[in-house]
Amino acid sequence: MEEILMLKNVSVFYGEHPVLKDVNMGIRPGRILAVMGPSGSGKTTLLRALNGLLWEEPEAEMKGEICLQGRDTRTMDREELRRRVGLVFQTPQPFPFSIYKNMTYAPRYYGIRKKEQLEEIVREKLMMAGLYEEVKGELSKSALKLSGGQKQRLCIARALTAEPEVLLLDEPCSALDVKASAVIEETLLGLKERYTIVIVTHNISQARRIADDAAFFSEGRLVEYGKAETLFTAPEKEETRSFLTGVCG
Amino acid sequence: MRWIGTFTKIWAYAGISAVCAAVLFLFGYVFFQGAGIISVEFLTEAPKGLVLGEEGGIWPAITGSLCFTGTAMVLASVPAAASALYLVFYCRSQRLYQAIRLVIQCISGIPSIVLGLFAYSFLVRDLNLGRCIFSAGVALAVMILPFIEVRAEKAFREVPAELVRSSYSLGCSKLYTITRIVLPACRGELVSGIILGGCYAMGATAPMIFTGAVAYAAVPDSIFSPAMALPLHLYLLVAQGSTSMDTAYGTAFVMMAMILLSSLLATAYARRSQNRWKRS
Amino acid sequence: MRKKLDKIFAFFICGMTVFSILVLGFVIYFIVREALPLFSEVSVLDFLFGSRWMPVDYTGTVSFGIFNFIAATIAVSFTALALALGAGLGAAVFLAFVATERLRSFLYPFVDLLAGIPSVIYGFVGLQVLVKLFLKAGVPTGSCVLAAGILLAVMLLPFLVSSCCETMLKEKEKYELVACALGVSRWYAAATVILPASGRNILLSMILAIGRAMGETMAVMMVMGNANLFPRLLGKSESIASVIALEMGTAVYGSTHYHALYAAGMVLMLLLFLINGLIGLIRSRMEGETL
Repeated sequence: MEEILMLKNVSVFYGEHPVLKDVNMGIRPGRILAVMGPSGSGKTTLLRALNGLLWEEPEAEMKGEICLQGRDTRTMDREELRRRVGLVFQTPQPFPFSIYKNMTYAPRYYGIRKKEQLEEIVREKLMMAGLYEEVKGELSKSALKLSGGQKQRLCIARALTAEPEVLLLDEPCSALDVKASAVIEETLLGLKERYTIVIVTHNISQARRIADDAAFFSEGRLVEYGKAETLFTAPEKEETRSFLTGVCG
Repeated sequence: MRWIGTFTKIWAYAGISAVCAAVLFLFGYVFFQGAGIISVEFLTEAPKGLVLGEEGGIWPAITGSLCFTGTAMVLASVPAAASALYLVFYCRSQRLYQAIRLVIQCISGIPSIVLGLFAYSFLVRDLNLGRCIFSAGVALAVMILPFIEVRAEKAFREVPAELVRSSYSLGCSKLYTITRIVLPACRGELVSGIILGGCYAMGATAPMIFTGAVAYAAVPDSIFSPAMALPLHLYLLVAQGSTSMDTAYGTAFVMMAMILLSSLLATAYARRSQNRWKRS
Repeated sequence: MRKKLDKIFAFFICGMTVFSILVLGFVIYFIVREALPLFSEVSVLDFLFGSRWMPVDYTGTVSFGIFNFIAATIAVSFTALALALGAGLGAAVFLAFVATERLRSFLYPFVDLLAGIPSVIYGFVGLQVLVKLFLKAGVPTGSCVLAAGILLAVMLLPFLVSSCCETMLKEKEKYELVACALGVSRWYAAATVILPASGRNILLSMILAIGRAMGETMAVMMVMGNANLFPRLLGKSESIASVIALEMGTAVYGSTHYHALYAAGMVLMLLLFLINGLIGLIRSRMEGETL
């Protein structure tokens, strides 16, 4: 299968300190990839490298090559890269506007001005994130008044308004309760038809429930990467096994 | 060795009492002495009398001061806000950042009287503008530029990084992020920073003594004419001696009231508009 | 189109930043340009260490020596700092150790009100109150270095109090529990652990405060008597800034007197750059250590 994102010998340094060491991996389209590993193993940095947010951090330096659909991302315009590879953060960060304005923030930037068109985008993306039914009567309400889980789904919907090809999620459920997490998981499963999803998670049972592929990182190295089923039931590496059992048991 | 603790305790209570006493005394003194002088005539008439300013009002000085302050605020705010934006969102080298910081600190270290000298030789003499509001306004603008920059930079840094990153992650450019997220989030602090800078400029005398402020002028009609200013007027009244003390108290009262009110309003405005954005 | 706007904006921001930096160069250029002609007539040493200042030749020869002015500027700044530290540090200790969060949020802006008062009002009140007091106490004419020092001290207070209090709150968070766990009283801990631990930051604020004091013009000028004398606590004297403010109006454009005033301004400016450089140095060293 054709890979949508290819990482070739990617290393990231903060000054002298290496955060990612020589990572090689290909991410396949139309699937959910769960990235796991103990904290400080470079998972967040990986996501930021993938959508070029690392360029905004003066002290971070990246070596190696990341290709999106076969094109080196460093030759791409950074705004274009970020549009095509969306990122949702750990703590939901809606802009302090109304829900409607949150959803039209990016489309307006891309030059869509027509009211019907904007409304259609808002409706469609909110539906995809499974939020439309809950908020359809109060789109002008401040986004800050939503509950935690709703905020996070709004952020996912907002990321979708940029029409990305890949959606990166950095521990999207770590600030949410079990019920809200379940809703988000359902949302993600519904989205994988159209988008490639990479999710960083601490929650192994969550990864089991939704992931098609799984990758395990430790201290900046990619330890193991493969089909989720195989990795969870019969990990090859000792390190992976002890992580999985350690957290589970 | 226990006494050292007791000593510190006494020192602390004495210190805070002294400081509070100083504040209360200064404000009380100026307000009680000056309040009686204030009348509609005092506020709206030009200075009169055998010795100028002994009688009459201070209207030209009030308008003059506002002109000086306004010019300085306009001239200083754009470069100050722009450099703050540069330092927070564009500057990518730590070294360059440190260097620019040092330069700005040095500008804030230039004594105001030296800024007056600068404006005199550059604007009054070289550019042949003569003593005018604009010349003094430039000196005042240089004085408040670092003041505004520091506040703006602090405000920009306090915008939650995740908000800015979210906007970048949607593929939006810096310009769009700055105009849609950063500036609205910091509007209160920016405006209040500029107004506080204006208050600072309004009270400054040294930079305008020989660059624009004069002992007597009518209400200014252009920024290229000289004008009266409250602080210089007060200084001259005091220098004239005891006959013009009443009007001096009145001038001090007006000046203090103007500065105090605008800075209180600015702070309140900043606080109100901040709530919505930060720590949501 | 969007790209273009973005580029233009980035360009504008960079341009404005360069402009702000150039402002410093501009100021230095004009001051130095107007100051240098003096040194073809008066030697640098005579200028800095001479104590006779006779800008106009009413009687005898002209002479330009600013030693007394420099001494007065430094003397009045240090007097002010000493006085401000006495009250300000105490107040900061109070705010950091006694005051509750609520009291602090009231007292901070209250003390900050002092920063909003223009210097000419300080001078005015000083003249009406302090100078009269000194006159009653037997100081001839009442104007003296001490009066200027007291005024300046009050002007420095808001800055000193807030910066010292901030440092101490940080140190207190680090050490207070540890110290109290050893069974010593809060105040003992404050005096022996937290104050010394804040020492370096307090020193930094002191240097900054000295810088501010030296550049102050109006308040000092109004109460110090303005006589070219070597500064004594209860005697008259004159600071560099006051000389410039007082004589600039009468100095003939292009005359030696005019250039001498710019040179005096240059000396004052250099003094302050020295101080700011020192602060930058200490700060970067402190950051280097905490990393």
